[in-house]
Amino acid sequence: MAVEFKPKTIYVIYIAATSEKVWQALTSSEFTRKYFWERAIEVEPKRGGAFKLRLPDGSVNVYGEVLEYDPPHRLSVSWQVARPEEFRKLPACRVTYDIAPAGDAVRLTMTESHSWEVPDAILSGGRMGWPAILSALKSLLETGKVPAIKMEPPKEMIEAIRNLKT
Amino acid sequence: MDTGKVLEYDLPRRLSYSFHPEHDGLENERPSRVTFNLGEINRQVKLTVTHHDFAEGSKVLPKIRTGWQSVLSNLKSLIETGKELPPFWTGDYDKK
Repeated sequence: MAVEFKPKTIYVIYIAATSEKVWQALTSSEFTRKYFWERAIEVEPKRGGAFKLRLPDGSVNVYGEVLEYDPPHRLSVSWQVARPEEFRKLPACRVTYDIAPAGDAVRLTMTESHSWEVPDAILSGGRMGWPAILSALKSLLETGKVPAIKMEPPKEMIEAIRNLKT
Repeated sequence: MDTGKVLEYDLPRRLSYSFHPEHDGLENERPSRVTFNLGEINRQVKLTVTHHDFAEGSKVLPKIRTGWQSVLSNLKSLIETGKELPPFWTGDYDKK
């Protein structure tokens, strides 16, 4: 039986840009390095292709598979965290970006879906992180500048992962 | 018109008010509450909006649920670029 993924975190932001520009910002490393805490994205432009987020030292932070690739409307990837190492015991989740026109602006929706009963403590990491990442993306596209958002490591999430029985 | 009372006013960290829509048959529902929290680090602000304390079976909640994202996106654009977003509001909340 296919595993069912349920949306657990949804974040919506409106951006004064075209869908194509938002798509480019989501899928090109030139952009992600600026707003996604210096991570470089790699997306093979097809369903079943490889997806990676690399840290500045080149090591893989997150990897997965491209599940949907429909520019400039929808990108969906499986999301397995490789580093920090203790995050590896988390089952892969799915991250989907939906881009929809909203007048002359664009509505970007990020949906994080999970296949298991994830504790809120584990979800807290993404719930802190996504608003910062997507706010920085919006600033980058609208002003050309990115605020350097300082953020503590998600302590509650790390603690919950340590206590997770596998 | 939506009305309410200021419940907390702690400039520039916290603002809280009651929220009472007086239209569309919503006027009989008891007010909910909106709280804004501002946290500042390195001249950047993390704004957290919590709309809470709704009446059970609230008719207001489903109407406002998708509104905040657009309001806050607009606020961010206005502050950072001096211009609000191009008009995109498609909801029917304040058209009636």
